[in-house]
Amino acid sequence: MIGRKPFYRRVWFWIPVAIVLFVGILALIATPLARFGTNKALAQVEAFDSEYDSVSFNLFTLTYTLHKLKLSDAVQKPPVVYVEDIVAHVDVKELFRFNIVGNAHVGGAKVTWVLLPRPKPKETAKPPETPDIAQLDEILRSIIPFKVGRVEVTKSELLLVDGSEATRPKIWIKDIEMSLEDFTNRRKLDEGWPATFALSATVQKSGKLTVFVTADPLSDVLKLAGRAELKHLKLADLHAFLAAKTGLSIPEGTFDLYAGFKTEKGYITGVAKPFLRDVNIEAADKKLSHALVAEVADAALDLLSDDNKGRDTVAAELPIKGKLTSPKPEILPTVLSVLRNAFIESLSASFVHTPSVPNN
Amino acid sequence: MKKYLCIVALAFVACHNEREVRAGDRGDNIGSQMTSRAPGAPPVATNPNTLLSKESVQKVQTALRDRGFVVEKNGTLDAKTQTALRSFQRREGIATTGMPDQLTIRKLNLQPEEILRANPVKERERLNEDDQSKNDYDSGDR
Repeated sequence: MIGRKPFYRRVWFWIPVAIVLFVGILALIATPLARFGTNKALAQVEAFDSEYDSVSFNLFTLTYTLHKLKLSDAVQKPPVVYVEDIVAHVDVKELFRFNIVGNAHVGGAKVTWVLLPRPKPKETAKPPETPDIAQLDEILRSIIPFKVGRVEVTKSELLLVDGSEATRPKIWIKDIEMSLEDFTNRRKLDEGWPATFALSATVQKSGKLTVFVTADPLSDVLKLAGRAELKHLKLADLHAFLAAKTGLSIPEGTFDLYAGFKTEKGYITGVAKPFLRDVNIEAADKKLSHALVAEVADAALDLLSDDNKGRDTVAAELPIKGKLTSPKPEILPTVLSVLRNAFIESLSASFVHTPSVPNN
Repeated sequence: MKKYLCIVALAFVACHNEREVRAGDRGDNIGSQMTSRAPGAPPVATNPNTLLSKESVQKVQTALRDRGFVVEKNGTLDAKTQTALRSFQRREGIATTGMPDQLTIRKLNLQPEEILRANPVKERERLNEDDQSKNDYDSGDR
């Protein structure tokens, strides 16, 4: 009709065009922005040199992807941390509610962790403040609202190296599969659900490790309950480690450990049940002291074992006790103390019911 | 004008439907997992004995058997059940922990609040004990 505006001069045409253009431009610059952000974050990690193959960000699914991340130091090769893939995703609906709720997947990670003895603090230096883990809820609430819907780690490995020993013995934990769900720092986001943690891994080629824990990190004092199992660990696989720590070698035998634990009023309590089967102890070197200890330990285990269908088994029940406040998370000393206690407690528990020799 | 703006706004919201993507594909996708709103949500299991009750494990074992896995319905998270769970998780493309985490439970078409709920009777007794000991604790020495 005469006087009617052509469509390209109408507002309703240009609004969606503007929106599409705006979204298109955002989509184009999303990946470069993600690359910039990643480089800036990695630059903060001063102790390591970092590199990666590629990074991308999908604006429509709000998914961030990072391929082949390497963190290395000047001394150690291969890299301290290598990750095949990191994929992180943010929930769009929750963003509109000003909450950060996300999921992440880490695939093919290989981490080398060298455990070094802690340097003795100077006498005049103020002792470092360690966070009180029992008051985890206060620490979490100080951070902006977030929720981890699910983080999973697949096909990963961890190499623990004891840097305090000259021989640097290693414990290799491989085939790590892990999931962490519903971890949040706001009560309104947890919807009444506990955080759950599940882990499966292989220790030193033979031991099967599984862990399952549920927790409420936002309770006044951290609440959690869990169970852990380590099955069929061949003690021969720990040769380098045991030789460095004890001077002993265990060429035969398996170790199993079953544990249940919970927190109560700021303390962690539970029970661990170690089982030693068909253990044969020898000296790891030619030192006389180690040879004597090996003979005594081997004889004691033979004496205390239950001959069950041709298998010699030594079992014990160890109470787990600890305080949640000011923890000192040292994995290797904790594992060592459990192994050491498995021997000591099983020996002492078996001697409790031994009748005393009468005085003549 | 207002009518057109409303149409554009509705189209914008419609475009932001969250799509579920699968986990496990070599870094391309991850599982989208939203916890369901659970009225009367389960208390946190604070005792390892009530962490996974016998009835809960039996439900998981039944669901695995329905999918062709060979497991016994003994209510114990034994090696066979964990192996079956791993196989199921591998098939679904999620982390093969061998444990019934929330995503695994949902993929078995079960409700997490049924499985991860602590044994109601035991947990109620425990909660009553905790309340009593908390009263004693609050009034006593810290």
